[in-house]
Amino acid sequence: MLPVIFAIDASLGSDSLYWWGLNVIFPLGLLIFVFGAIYRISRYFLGRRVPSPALAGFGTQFKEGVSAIPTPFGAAAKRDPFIIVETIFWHIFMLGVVVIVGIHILAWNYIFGQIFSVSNPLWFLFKISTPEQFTSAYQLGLLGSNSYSHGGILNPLGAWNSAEVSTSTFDPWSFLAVLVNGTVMGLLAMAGILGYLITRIMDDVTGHKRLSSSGDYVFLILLAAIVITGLAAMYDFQIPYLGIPNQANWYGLHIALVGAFIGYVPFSKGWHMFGYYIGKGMRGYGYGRKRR
Amino acid sequence: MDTGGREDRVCGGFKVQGKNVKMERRMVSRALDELSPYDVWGLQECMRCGICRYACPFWLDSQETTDIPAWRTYEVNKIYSMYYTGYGNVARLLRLRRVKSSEFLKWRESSYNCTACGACTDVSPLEIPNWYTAILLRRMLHLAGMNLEEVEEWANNTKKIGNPFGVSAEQWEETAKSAGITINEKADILYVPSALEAKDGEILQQVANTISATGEKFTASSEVSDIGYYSYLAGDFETARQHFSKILEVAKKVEAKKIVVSDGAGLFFLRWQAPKTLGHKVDIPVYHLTETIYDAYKQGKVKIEVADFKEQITVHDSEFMSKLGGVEKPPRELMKASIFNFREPKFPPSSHNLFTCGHHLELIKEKSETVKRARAYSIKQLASWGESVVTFDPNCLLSMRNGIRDSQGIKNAYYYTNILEKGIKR
Repeated sequence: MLPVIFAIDASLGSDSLYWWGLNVIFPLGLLIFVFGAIYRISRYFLGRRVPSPALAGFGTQFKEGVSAIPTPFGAAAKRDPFIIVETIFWHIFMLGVVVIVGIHILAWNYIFGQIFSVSNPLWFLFKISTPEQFTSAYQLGLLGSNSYSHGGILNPLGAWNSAEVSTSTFDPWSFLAVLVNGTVMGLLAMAGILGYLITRIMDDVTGHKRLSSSGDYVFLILLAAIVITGLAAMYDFQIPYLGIPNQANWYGLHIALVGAFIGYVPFSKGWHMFGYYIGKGMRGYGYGRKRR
Repeated sequence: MDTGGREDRVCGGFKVQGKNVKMERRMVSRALDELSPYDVWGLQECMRCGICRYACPFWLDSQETTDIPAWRTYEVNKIYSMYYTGYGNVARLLRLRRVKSSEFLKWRESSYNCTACGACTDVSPLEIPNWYTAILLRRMLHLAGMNLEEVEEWANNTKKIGNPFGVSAEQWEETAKSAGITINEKADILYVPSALEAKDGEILQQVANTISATGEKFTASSEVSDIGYYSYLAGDFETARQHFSKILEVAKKVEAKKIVVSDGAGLFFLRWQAPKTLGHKVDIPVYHLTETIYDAYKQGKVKIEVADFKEQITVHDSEFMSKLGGVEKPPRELMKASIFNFREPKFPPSSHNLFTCGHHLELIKEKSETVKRARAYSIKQLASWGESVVTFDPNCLLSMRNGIRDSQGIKNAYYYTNILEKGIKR
């Protein structure tokens, strides 16, 4: 391990978690994701024993795929409304956190920009993003003129100089920013994930729906940890002896967990974020989907 | 005989060893020998959110974990992953993933607390084919020699005499002839009855009169008095494949241009499941009788007049024909045209909101109490729309009649051929 650490010039300083998270675990997670996704998709075809020709065209599939979206909500609304609350809290607010919270836009903008060699691919999201985390990272020095001191091979946070940040901290949300910000949305997403965890535990313990595998819990706990470390990074939760500067390590841990999550997705239920749409495409392969 | 390249060979098996079940790879391979990419996708992607259970009257009645449709998918996926995925194989070898014998024994109960109606698939956010995994569990029970005896009898009878209920070729031929159905002649249409219909001369006569009204020449075969789906539903895919192949061979022999079935489940199995399980396309088109008549009606070849039924009649749509098979308009439109006091259900024919009846489970004595309770959901729903019910599948008819016997809420149950025969005019 040591030769590797020296070979890649790994940071062993006080903020090494940030370095490791950003430069090793996160890209490794992406790499595992790519291979995992290929493996998972190929299994649909490697595992199959008979060919199955499509029975409905793309138009039918698309129409049915879209019209089928509310069906499960309708079924659950009468008998299990809590699952809808959990789903909305988790999916909508987590998606909101990832899509409109400034620091995430910066990170993804930089990473996608590097991957596709395009300058500012997410420019259209800058103006709708919430400014809260810009400030936090800027004050910390992860953004701004001295940001490269934390940098590495990806260094999304250090990619922006203070001038760019200052032009992007325009707040389009006005008074709504009280609600539309990373903290509130993160907490609502957390409420959703805790709801999932608690109902799963309750279902398993009472025997009403004992269907969980250990992977289901790993997945939910990992998600919860990502939200917690994200909030911890923003508010710089103080935990003695964790290292100085503490906040950089929170960011590092957050990024590392996201990397682990991304790598775990193709092997877990997290795959449904893609599988859902693949499934809609599979509808045409279902029996009798060509309605008459 | 074309069995889709899959031989009927004896292989290892499932063995209950202490607390666990030992499975041989060949057995698993044989049990899962007709998975399509869609099935593999379904096995792997189930999130186990449990929403499927709300569409299932068996779960609504028992509230048992093992009656959640996703539980069956979970079980089949466990076995699939233990033999077909990298980490599943490792987990199996490290004994981290296994099937407990107590779990295995629950398959027997669970897999027959399902009519394979497909409502759970329709309601699932990921549209997981849970209905199919119930049949796969039955298949493993069949291969392990632990299937329900009555159900095994269906498969054995089909294998031996071509009819699950033991109706011999001679008996069938006699019933068909007395119902006015020609046998073994060259014709444009090969009519294939299901096993329950083949026993019922009255239904056969109604079918004969209805097809005759279209002016098309039809015939039946002395060799075919069943569609083959009872074997399939018993998990004996090999026998079902042989039977499906026999039907296709007979159709060629009589130079039929199309196959017509009058049973809703029969349409689904012959049109959709036969090509899948045989592993090749079926060259000859398969139609349900309502489709044929509806087409003739649209083309002006026949007229549909209001038949002499004055009561409020609603429809119990065939789970297999409409929900899984996709045929929605013809059955309802024909009933609308021929029933004076037609009460259309609130939901479309393929809706998951329509509860399944007891279907083929009505034929299993061991399940009668469970089926009665589950059937109550369907009958209660139908009774809120009309006092009597028309069905498109003889299994559904049997279920409705059992519902009347058990005073569950409806007055009369009709087979659609009874109404159609009276309403159709040339």
